[in-house]
Amino acid sequence: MAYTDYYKILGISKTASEEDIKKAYRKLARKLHPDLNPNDKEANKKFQQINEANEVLSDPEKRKKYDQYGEDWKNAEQFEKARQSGGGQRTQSENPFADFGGGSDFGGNEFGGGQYSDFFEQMFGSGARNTQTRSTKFRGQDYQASLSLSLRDAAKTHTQTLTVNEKNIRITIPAGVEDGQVIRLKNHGAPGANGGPNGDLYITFRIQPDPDFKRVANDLYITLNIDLYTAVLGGDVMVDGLDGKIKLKVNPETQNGTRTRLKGKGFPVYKKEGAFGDLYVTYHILIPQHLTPQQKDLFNELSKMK
Amino acid sequence: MSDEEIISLELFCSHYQVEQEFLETLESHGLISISYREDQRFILREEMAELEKYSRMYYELSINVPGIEALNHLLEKIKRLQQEEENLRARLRIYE
Repeated sequence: MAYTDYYKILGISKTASEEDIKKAYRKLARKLHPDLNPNDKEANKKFQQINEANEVLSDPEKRKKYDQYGEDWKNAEQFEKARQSGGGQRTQSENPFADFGGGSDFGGNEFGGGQYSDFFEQMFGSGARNTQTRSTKFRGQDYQASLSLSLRDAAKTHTQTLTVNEKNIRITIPAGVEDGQVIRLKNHGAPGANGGPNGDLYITFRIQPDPDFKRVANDLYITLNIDLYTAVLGGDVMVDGLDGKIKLKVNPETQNGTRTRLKGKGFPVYKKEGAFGDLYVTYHILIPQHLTPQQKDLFNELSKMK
Repeated sequence: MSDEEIISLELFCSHYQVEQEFLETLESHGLISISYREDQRFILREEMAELEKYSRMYYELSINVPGIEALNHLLEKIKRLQQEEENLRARLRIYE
């Protein structure tokens, strides 16, 4: 593993002030920042290097230790071993690594250990990443998912558990959700980098067609078969609504294809408690089949009367 | 425009710790659009990624809004040229 010259990376001298470091970093960041260099792997790699250099040199403690060991950084490791075995003469407070090492709540590889060189990890430990000095935060990637629902399920507020990237997410689906509607679950996307926020999860709802109901916005349409006699003479029929049977009065002399509206018996309006669309019922009159001779006679009689 | 397509400007500002004035300046330079509904201001969800990018440029790289605008033009141009290069390379491969 090669020694990394952070001063060289930032193009500054070893006597550079904090302000000089800040300026140099900012200047290079403007040149190499991933936002300004899309699809440029080389620039991204260099950006990581300047980030790392800034992380060390802008932190007085880290800089002190880095300067102390410099190119002899491997000796730091030997010193550390000696200290741990009790051979060291320094007190704990003098130990150049006492403040570092694992245990930081920012430790682990959650944000991609690859962003720091092996040199950095070896010298400061993976827990040494300082969130305060790392200015560039990247929001995690957004995830997209789709969820298929029956029309009847979409009419009720209910909860479902989704598994996204091996993680179970329990969501409440409000009644009235539409086909193609997208909802966003904040922070349920990919983890952010450098302490940036997680991405979001976008769920697209797919509402399956229903064999009985046709939905247009919040209105529902249904076709109801009624017999000829009810159509001619009028009467009561039962129609299926989303919440059960609804009694419907058929007017005498109802024509085939007549449509009637049942106000407020349609689909629930999304996120509007107690608001519903309408239910439209279209009558389909069934002509009697397999008539008996007597029925035929009666129809003949009727036809002569017109 | 449904609720899922927009996010309250105030919410965005508090979450990302940016000033509303910054967003207003971005809007005045035509970099984002702010929509209004019943005295409330919203930004489009589809513009969030760009807005985050502009915030990083402004707060982390100290690039002012006119600079962001100029960079945006150049980045768009780079994107077009990269696409064009890619298309030309694909066409060249046919003759190789």
